[in-house]
Amino acid sequence: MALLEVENLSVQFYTEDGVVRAVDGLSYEIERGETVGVVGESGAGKSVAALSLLRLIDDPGEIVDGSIRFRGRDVLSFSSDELRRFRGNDVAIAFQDPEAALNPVYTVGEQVAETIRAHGVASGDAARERAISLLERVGIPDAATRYSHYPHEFSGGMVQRAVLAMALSCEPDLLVLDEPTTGLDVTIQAQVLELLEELSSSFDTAIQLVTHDLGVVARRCDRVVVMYAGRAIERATVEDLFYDPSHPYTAGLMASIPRIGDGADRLPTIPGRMADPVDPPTGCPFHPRCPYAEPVCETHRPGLVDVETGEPVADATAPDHLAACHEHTGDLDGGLEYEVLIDDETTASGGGTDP
Amino acid sequence: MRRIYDSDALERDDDDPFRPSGRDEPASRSIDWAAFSHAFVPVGLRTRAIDVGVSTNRTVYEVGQPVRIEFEFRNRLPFPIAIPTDSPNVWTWAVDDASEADAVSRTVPDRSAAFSFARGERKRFRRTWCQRIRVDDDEWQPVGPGTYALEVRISREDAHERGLVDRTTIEITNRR
Repeated sequence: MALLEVENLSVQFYTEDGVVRAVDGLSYEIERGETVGVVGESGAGKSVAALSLLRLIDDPGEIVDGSIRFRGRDVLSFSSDELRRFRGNDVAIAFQDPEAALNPVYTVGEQVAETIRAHGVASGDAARERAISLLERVGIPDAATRYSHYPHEFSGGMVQRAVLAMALSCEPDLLVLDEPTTGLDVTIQAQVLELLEELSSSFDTAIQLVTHDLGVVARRCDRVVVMYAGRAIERATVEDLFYDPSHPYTAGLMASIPRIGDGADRLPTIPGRMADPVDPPTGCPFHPRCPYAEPVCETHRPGLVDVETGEPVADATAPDHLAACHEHTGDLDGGLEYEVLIDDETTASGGGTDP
Repeated sequence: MRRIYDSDALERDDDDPFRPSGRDEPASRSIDWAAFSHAFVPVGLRTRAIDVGVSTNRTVYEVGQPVRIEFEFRNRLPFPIAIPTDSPNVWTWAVDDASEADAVSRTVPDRSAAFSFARGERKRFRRTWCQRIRVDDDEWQPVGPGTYALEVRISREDAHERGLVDRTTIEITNRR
């Protein structure tokens, strides 16, 4: 039994423009101590999937289908008391845009200590001491003084670290990080990533890393789920994904990573834009942007299949390399005509993709 | 959560006009016309107030040509109107009898909601129909040449009786 099992999760939002199916039949699992990346463009449904794990989807959205099991317990059937204990203690989240996640009129330390008190981990001065030690643990210098500082007195990287300290305050088994490095400069990004690596090894915390940065994924993740228009379109180990991207969207994402010294005048991009969530295309949701699309892609939506055998995977949480493209079921006549060039075999992220 | 004026963080001084007043009181009293209208306007008048329309960019299309559809809802009255609906999906469209060109039932909860308009408000929504009907979870079938009715309705059981529906027809022909 995995730590977290998400099966056929579907989340809808009801807007005046129509029904937005932000997450559509998403399945994956996370083992204890493992880091799983969820990648995709803005609007792919990554953050909604992350919020769903803690049942933080608010009106006008709701989870309409599927199951979320944490250590075998059905999260969707939790009472409000169970949910309160589950959030923070079992699964914690560091929200996107950490500066908005902190209350500007309370000191940072007090906000960390409040989380500790609310979950009954410690009280009074013990909570304060614990908060200071957590701030130290995430690399905030002079944590005892910084405890009394307000969020506006922290730099972007320090705020991110403070939010991480808050998420780690109850030593959760699973940490959901929604774009933890977005908006940080590269040196701070590297520090935050190192911190995550250290934390996951010392606390044995599993991490669900939501990001659109494939460099972060290459460096930090064990397995990856690539999302497009609310659906998982590829699932693989990080090595398989980078050395053998099996969906044209994944290949397009990799091709659009800037590389120093490749001499290109322009960055390759994926043409078009993310599918309209209230009026998604028929068939494969990626077909209007796919350079290899054929008529079958307009009328049949491919499910996740094993890229080796082309067989649908009955166990939605199977650890194989899966992709949702007609190429792997033999329905695509022309095939996928990109090749992966490995510039430096010593690093998984060194591969280049030429679509 | 405690407000800043509930704390002792700010010193109160009535002689100093630049200090916070202490409470978030509105500068003047105003009427929430949307709530007023919702409470007092009868449903019959509300439904008559809303004009529902559907139009397409052409009337004749070749097979496979995308059909661009525009749906318009307009409040004719000079005060806010909210129409109670049977579903949170407050309006739907259909090609012949296939709701949203989809013959597969969708998971939309059966609970009431409201479609709200400000005074005189006009709401426009657009869809592109690629001349395909969804026949299974993962399968769509192209439609052939013929005449197709496009309908838009507000999600109410009595939408037809109350005139909250509009239809138009298009013709799909073989390529010349």
